[in-house]
Amino acid sequence: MRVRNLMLYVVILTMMVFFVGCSTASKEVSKESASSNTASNEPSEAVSAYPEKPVTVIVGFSAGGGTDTAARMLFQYAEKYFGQKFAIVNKPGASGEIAWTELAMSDPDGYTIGFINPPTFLSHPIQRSGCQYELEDFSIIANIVSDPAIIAVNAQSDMNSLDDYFAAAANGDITVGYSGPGSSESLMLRQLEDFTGKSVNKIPFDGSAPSVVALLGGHVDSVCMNVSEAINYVEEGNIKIIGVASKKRVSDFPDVATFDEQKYPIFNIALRGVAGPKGMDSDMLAKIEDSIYKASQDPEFLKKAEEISLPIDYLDASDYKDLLVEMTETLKVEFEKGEW
Amino acid sequence: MAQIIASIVLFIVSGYFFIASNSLPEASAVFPKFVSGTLIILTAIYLFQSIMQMKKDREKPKQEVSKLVLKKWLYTFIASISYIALLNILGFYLMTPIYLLSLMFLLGVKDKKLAFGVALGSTLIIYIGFSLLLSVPVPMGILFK
Amino acid sequence: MALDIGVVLGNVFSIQTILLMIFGVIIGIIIGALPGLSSTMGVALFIPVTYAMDPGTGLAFLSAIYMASTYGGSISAILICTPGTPAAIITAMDGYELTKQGRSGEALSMATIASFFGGIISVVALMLIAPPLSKLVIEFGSAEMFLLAVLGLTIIVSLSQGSMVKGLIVGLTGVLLATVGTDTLTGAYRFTFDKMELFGGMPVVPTVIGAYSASQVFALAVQKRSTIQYDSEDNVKKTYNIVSVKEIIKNGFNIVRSGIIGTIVGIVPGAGMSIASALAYNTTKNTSKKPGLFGKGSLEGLAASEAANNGVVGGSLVPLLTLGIPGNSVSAVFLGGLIIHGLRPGPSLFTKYANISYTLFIGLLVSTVLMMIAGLVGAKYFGKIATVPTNVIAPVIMSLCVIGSYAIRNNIFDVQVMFAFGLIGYAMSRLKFFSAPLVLGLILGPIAESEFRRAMMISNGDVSAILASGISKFLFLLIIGFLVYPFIQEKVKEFREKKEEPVVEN
Repeated sequence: MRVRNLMLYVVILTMMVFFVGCSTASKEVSKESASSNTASNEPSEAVSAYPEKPVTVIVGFSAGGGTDTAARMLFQYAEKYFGQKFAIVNKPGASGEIAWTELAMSDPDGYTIGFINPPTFLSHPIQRSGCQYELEDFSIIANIVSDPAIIAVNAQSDMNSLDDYFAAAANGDITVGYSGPGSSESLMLRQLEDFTGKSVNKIPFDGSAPSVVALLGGHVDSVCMNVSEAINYVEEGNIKIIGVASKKRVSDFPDVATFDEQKYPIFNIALRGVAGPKGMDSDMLAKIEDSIYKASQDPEFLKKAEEISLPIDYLDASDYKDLLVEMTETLKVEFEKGEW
Repeated sequence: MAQIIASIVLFIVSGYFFIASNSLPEASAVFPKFVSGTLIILTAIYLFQSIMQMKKDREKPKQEVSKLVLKKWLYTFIASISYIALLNILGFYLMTPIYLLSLMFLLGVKDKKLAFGVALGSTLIIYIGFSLLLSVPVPMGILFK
Repeated sequence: MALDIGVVLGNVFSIQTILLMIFGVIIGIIIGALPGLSSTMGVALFIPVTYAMDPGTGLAFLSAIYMASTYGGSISAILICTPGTPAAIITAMDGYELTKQGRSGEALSMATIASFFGGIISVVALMLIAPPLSKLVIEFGSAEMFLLAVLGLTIIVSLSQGSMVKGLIVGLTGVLLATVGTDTLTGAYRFTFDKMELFGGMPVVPTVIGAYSASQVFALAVQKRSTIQYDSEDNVKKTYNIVSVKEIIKNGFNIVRSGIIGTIVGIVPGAGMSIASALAYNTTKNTSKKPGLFGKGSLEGLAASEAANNGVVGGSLVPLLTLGIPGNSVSAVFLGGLIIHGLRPGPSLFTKYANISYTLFIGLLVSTVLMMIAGLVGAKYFGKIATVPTNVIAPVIMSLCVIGSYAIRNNIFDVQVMFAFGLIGYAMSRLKFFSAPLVLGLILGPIAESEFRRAMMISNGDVSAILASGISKFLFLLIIGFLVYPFIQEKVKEFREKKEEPVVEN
């Protein structure tokens, strides 16, 4: 009976091998998607035929969240111009570090790229010595979203400007809700404190939604978050923004002065863009970049982005890379002063 | 006996947490220390209760763990751990039928038709549900793209 | 108010919408029943499908998935002790016992009815009193959340009657394990061994799947009897019986109360189905005439847990639709679904867009009815799983556990965690430790710790801030009540028994 079983297993095994091999292997993805196809072909042949199959996009945050929604929308339109599908794979965890580490280590064959979220993307390697990637491990492709940080207070509050805010901070205890130590908001608050010489009572929350709940209920005096997260609450008249940390005023809130205009030269912007592992063929990169550029100009895409209050800000590969290098340097300098 | 081993494990785990908390900033360390400390005390109580119970049970006949039970448990354990270990190498859709068939036979399933039916049927259903309908990624293994 | 009932009813009862809702209910039940697939995942996966639909229909479809998947978790919890979602762990406790007794049909149908009523109550609350309820949402600050989490944790005491030490050990172990990960309040990494996968904390769903389902696989593989249910000629008939109407009516008050508890807990952002089902279960146990039956196959407890779970569905939509604040992770994804259709949470949903929101509400009511029908029809057949030989079903369950734990984050680490807890869970059951406190501790411990510390940060160390508000005082009284009441119950029972003795002796 043992021998019979063994033969049965061999038959099944062989069947399975064919079954799985012929199935939609292109839909699913694994880390070891080391495809030797393009490497063995002649380079020019492989590139001109590119893309021959769908490209995987690794997103470091859960399905349904802000980053994921933006990524899915972008690639839905980029597909039209690229000629192949973009398959989104969510690999959440460690504020994106898991996904970006995997991206850095993936095969630069042009079929794996990822969605990056600076400055968090940049600060992991700076803040954590165990981090297994750094900016140099990537081919930067394009930026899509620029979402500046803001400080908001309850609509009924007396404070209307940063001056009011820090005056109140000097007199008593001002509490501010934010995403916790290590986040870019934490850095911004520290920079503000260093600049004004005053301190605020920073209360960490797990994300912006709980901090807004606390703000609405009067449990905290203010909240630090990004513009796109605030739009809804401002329009309902529940909260108001007293400053935005961008270089220029944002179109959604033309009446809100920037920090800089209010004489507080602090900037903090959350970016969302696309990158691949380093070593990718430049023509492949160009094709991807081109499809993303066309998507970012697509009127339907722009209309949808506006509906969901996604602040679009396209940057091409070289501009984006320069910006990221600059941001890294700033972060390194800040890290010298101490962890935030 | 088993209770004594469990108590030792608990002591080791809570002891580790307790000691490791020392290298944490104070605010982060308070809670783990409190919890692990309480656990150590409770484990001590449990150990005491178990020993008392064991003394009482010396009079009662001991229950033998039958060899058959042990064999079945080992088969399950080894099969499952191999299954998981090989997932990333051979992929889910290959490993699962192999696993299902092997374990079913090892556990004494005599009806071959049932075994094959269930093995292939379950794999197929999972494939339809997870991959086709929901497009949820599944370990594919390095043998396949 | 621009609400036109005619348009709404036309929308809801159109062929397209009805078909979609049926599809949503079926998909939802399947997603809920499969271990590892959660309502959150289910709704998120189908949002893109709704792009082309009109907003009201699309939202009705998504909410059908939400409601049905919440109920679906009870099916696998009852039949194979594999809670499809953490929400169903309380259901698994009594549900699986009933299956073993050959009463799976009763258990499944009771779960269906209870889920139905719990769901309806919460949707009606959503429709009629959402705006006033939303005021309650923001009253919950860190102090209140802390007390609510502690209240949920007191159920560990109640579950451990018989061996307080063991129950507390398991509960505290759960809490301790939950400290693994990033401490969001200081940014420090606690006990993570530099493994990125642990930075977000011990993954909850793989732990639940492991401790319940994978450990069951071992138990099933080695057990003497050949099927899940106890062998008996009678049992073969019993499986196909659904719960009697008398039994349902007996539990009427229980179900309604549990549904209300679920709705209220659902309204509080951050409080999820575990807290709701635990609270409802505990409350019912305290007021029950047969508290000893809880944990050994109590239909009452099952009904309470399931009614509360589905109560959370409607409740969690209240803060979402009125303030744009998600009540739990599913409603957070729902927010994405709203925005995709160009809708903004807030009063405008109930005024300018009333037609859309009422399509959602009425659609949800209809889907809940469809869910009940599907459940009752299926109860007879689902129960057959308990008669499949264990050596066939055990491997299948394990493979479901594997794919289920992988599917959450596409990470093989989660599968390893699942297996490790499978072994731990099996060891626990052999030593007669209960598993529910582990999961409760794992989920509620971090909430209790972080909210307490947050409250302290806001009040600058003033402990009296914890009991400052009216809600806090109320919760505190409930905590004391839950802790003390079981002992009072015992004493009263003893007292009654003593009174009866003289009569017996005569």
